[in-house]
Amino acid sequence: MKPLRESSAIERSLVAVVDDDESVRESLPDLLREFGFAAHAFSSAENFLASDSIGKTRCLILDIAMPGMTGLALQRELKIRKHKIPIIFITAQKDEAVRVRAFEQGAAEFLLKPFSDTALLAALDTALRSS
Amino acid sequence: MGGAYYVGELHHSRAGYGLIADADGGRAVNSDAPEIAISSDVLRKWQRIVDLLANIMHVPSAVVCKIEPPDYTHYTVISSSNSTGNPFPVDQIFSMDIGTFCETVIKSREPLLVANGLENDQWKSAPEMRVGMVSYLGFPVFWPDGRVFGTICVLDNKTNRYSDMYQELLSHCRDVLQGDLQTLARLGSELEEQKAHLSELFARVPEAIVLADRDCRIVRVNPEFTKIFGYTAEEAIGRRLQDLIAPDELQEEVESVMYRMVPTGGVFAVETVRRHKNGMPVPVSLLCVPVSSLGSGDTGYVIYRDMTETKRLQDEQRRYQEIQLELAHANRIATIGQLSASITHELNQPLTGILTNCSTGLRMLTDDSPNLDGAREAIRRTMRDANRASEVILRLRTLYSKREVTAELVDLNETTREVIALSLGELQKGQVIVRTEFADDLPLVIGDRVQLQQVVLNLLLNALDAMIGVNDRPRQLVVKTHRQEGDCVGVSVQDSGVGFEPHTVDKLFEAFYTTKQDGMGMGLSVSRSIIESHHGRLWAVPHDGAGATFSFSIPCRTNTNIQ
Repeated sequence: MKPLRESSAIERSLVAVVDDDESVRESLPDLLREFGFAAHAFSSAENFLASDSIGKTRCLILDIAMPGMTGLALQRELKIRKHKIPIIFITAQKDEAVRVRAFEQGAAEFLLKPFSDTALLAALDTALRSS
Repeated sequence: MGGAYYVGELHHSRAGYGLIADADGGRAVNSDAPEIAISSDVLRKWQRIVDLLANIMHVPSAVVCKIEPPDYTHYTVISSSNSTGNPFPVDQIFSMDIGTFCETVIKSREPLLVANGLENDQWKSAPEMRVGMVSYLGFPVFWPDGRVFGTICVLDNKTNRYSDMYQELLSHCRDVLQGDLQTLARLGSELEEQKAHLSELFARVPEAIVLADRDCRIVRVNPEFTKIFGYTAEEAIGRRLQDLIAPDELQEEVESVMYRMVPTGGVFAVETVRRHKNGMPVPVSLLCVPVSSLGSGDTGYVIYRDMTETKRLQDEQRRYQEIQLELAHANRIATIGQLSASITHELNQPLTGILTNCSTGLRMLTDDSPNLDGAREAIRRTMRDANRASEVILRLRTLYSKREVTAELVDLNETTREVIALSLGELQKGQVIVRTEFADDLPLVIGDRVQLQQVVLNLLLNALDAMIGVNDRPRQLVVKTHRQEGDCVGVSVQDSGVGFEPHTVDKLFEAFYTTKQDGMGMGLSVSRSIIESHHGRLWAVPHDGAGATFSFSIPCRTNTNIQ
């Protein structure tokens, strides 16, 4: 796999993480920074929508099951607001219906927790190419 | 009393001397009545009386005779005056068909006076004539119940008309004798009554009673002994206890028990096993009662209570509890099975953290300029997530484990919170909005934490199932803990699901009643038995609108100390 940090096109691109789970919010941004991205984590869909990061985000890593607005709902909301941010869904639950739905709504990638760093890199590659 | 009695005034018409005439005039045979012995002190007193009589009346012989039951075919001289010329020694026996004076008195139940038998055809060949006793004055002596005891009489070797005073004296002596008999009879009947009570006790007590001698040989057993051990009294008496009813391996125990049965020793109890005639073991509780025997050689009573039924009930109770435990466990396994989404979620979250942190740390360390601080932080987070994962496993393992019921102090708020955490994935998947209203300063309850969690879990999953088909309204779950009247605390789970018909409320808690396609119908039944074993209650109320509320309450023990 081509190391992404050597690709100047996406260097310092902002990747946003939305997950209600704290250990994901803590760990994922560090890894993303190691990959060479800028990273910002949000504990809920609502927080992300309210932030000013929304316009700068090049890629969104989004949890499916969250209290309040779910990942799929946020995906729809972004579509309505015309934000074309590529989305990598991450979920702890294997649910084929949800997966199909996510792709129908235009998801770039769909990862099952836990995932490896290479799987994440590949997903980011796919997502950023799609934009 | 007075006057003379003449020869020939005999009344053979009386029913019989050994019999009494009862109120109906019929014959009430009293030959069953046990013989009352004349005690030696009474006999000494009577001896003094006959000696005095002979002396005062200047006659050679004064005697007391006793008719001998049960045949009444003879009588015996039991007191006879120590006077010169007395031909009748004590213990001399007279047949009742030889025509003696006393025989006549006994048969007639009347006094008799014969001044000189030689001058009378009826008496000139009487046996007394042959020993020189020609005159006779005798009174019948009666038992208090009217039976003839015998006679008291004086005899002379010459004509003697026995003055009125002498007759009165002899009659008075007869009264003294009868008074003594009355006392003896009363003591005898009291003794009889006591013996009868003891016999009845012996016969009717639902414990086997054995009287054993100092060689452990059985002297006496009661009917219950036969019931418990199978041996009849005939089979048991004379046998040694250890040979008859002790299992081979308990020979020493029996001997040590019998060894302790010393007359000076106290009563003691032993829980053990004995053997039935058919070889089956009989669990018994035995009570050893040493008796201070008067040289009879008896060591004491052993009283056996058959514990078979008690043991059976205890076993049944134990088995029932085991089944309850098994059921509760089976229900837990089945319930946890429904939590797969939650469990996956609960484990995958920390695993994601672990994997991500490890990748990050590795990258930081293998970089051209290693970021040690960053790596250290990543490893610290890895450890935290690993701990979190193992906590999930621990919680699950507790729920999965099959274990004895424990009593510990349980915080229902914490318990409920943990269960909600465990099932959050499931609830989120079912798009259920969960709201909790936990009471502050909820008193602790004493109970089994795992079982109480199981109940809350059952209620949560039931509520979830009840709402799964609901699409026209929010799927709302409200979980409350509350303090109730009468020092009870409770948990209620309120859903907006399909609810239930009020008339089915009793069925809800029956085993194998289910409205779910893949349900076993055990959840509520097991939950109710768990709550009842905590002395609480579990109930359900359908809402007027949508859904239902399931609640339980259990008593809290604020002042109880758990060691």
